[in-house]
Amino acid sequence: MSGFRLLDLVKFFLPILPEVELPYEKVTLDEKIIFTVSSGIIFLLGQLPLYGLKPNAYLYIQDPFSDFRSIFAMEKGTLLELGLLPVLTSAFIWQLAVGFKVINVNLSLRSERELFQTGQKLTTYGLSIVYLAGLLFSNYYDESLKSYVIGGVAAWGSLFLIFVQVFIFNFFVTSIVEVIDKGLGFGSGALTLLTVQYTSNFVRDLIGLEILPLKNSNKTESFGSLANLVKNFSFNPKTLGGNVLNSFTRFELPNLTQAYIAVASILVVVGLNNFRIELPIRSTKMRGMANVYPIKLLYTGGLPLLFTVTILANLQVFGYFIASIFQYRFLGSYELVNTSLVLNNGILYYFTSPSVVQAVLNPLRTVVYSLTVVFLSTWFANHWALFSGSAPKDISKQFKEQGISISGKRDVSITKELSRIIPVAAVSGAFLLSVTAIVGEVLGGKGKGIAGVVGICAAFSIMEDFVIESQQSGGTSQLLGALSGYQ
Amino acid sequence: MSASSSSVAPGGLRSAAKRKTTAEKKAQATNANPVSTRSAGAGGSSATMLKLFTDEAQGLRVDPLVVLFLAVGFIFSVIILHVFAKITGKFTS
Repeated sequence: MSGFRLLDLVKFFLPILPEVELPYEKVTLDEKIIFTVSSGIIFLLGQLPLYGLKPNAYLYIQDPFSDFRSIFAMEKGTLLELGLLPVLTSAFIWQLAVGFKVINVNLSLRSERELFQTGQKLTTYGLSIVYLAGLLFSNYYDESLKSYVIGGVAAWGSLFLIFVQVFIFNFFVTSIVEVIDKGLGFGSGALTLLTVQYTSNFVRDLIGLEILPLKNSNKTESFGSLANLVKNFSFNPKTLGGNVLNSFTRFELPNLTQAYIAVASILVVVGLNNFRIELPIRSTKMRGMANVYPIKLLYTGGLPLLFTVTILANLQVFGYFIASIFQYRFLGSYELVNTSLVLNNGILYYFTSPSVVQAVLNPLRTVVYSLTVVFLSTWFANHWALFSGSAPKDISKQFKEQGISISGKRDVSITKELSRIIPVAAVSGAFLLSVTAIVGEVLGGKGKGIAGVVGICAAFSIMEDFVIESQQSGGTSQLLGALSGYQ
Repeated sequence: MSASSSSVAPGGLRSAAKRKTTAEKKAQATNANPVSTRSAGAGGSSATMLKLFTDEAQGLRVDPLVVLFLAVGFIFSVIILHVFAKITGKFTS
């Protein structure tokens, strides 16, 4: 081997990193359902408030990340403070690094694959430590600490306790992702957890009944936007207009605008998901066996959008750390709106989505933001279609193994035919998704639209996985049998 | 069509240099490292799924059920901390 490789560093950590065992025998459908559901529930339990913070800590935390919390399942002041951000960031870094051959690894060797995988895990832990350290040093938690005294020194004991809690929970999140990825659950770990979180939050945002106090006022409001509208609905013409307007525009708690944008984005994606090109294929072994091979417009699903928001979120997170620790105003200056820190100037400002009014007043920001999102998504889709093992070359190899050929084409030209379609489908699909996302964000989606798009795309692949699995098991599932018995 | 071209064997490229470059290209394509775990023939991320941990690497082997139970245990320990804080807060104030 030539010289020193970065990947070899991972070897030192191998014996101490936890590794979920692969199942010894085939996992039944029932087991898969139980594992998926229970991992989802455990993940959701992470919405438990951190120990060491004041009650209703969300009122005191000045939150610079409110735009993308829903996408990464980052819940303010809870065990899920970092959510899936470390896992997704490290995943994209490593998978793209291999795709672009930045790191020297031969994935056809099992030992190298194992190192690659452990490297991803190690990066996840490393990133969560970095994020947490950034949060602690940028005084993110200070005002919400139970032991906080105005003008006093930072309570390092309480901060350390918070660090430990969030880090250990993130460690478990990584392990739960691993449990699902190893074939014990449906779909891919990170995306399944993201979908679970998004769907439950969508319902909570709409009809969450808990009543929360508002900052700097005696008033309380219901958490859910619809619940709030119904509760405040009165036929008194004086207050009716104000109440309805409030439920569409309130800033701190979920509002109805976000709910409508999420629903609209989901409908757009469901519509886009139906677009496909069907290649006529035939068997080379049997005469008269003809079928179609569909190539979806959304060839890479919601991943391009997820990649884009991962990049933008990391930019915001690290930007916030640097701007607030070193007081770099040119990077980003924040103003406090209610409990959120909103950017009002600086470089970072141009990479956040403007509202409708701002979009008109500051066209530069609109253009920079839109172009960044569109460029990152399409760039990623173009490359991911070739990296992910679903490249034209890989598919034509599969065709050959299964004795399939495209009607009217010779075996050699299958790759050419597929590479005429696949990159175009992937890029245009990603483009349409990113436009949907931008429109949603500008209209005030606050990340809920993007989360909906990514979540529904993930849900489609989870459903696909589930249907294939249940067909293969041939109706031996007791759970499904019990459920269908009630119909 | 010149007269000499009819004497060349049918099929394949005409000059040795061209044949060599195509042969090299082919060898490079077949010997190149795969760009993802799935194209290497193992499980891993597909076009629409981001699967990260599909191989069993060396390390501290744990059963999946143990992972889930430990996670629940951790969450309960945080809940217990909250409860203790509530109780001690009652007595001290």
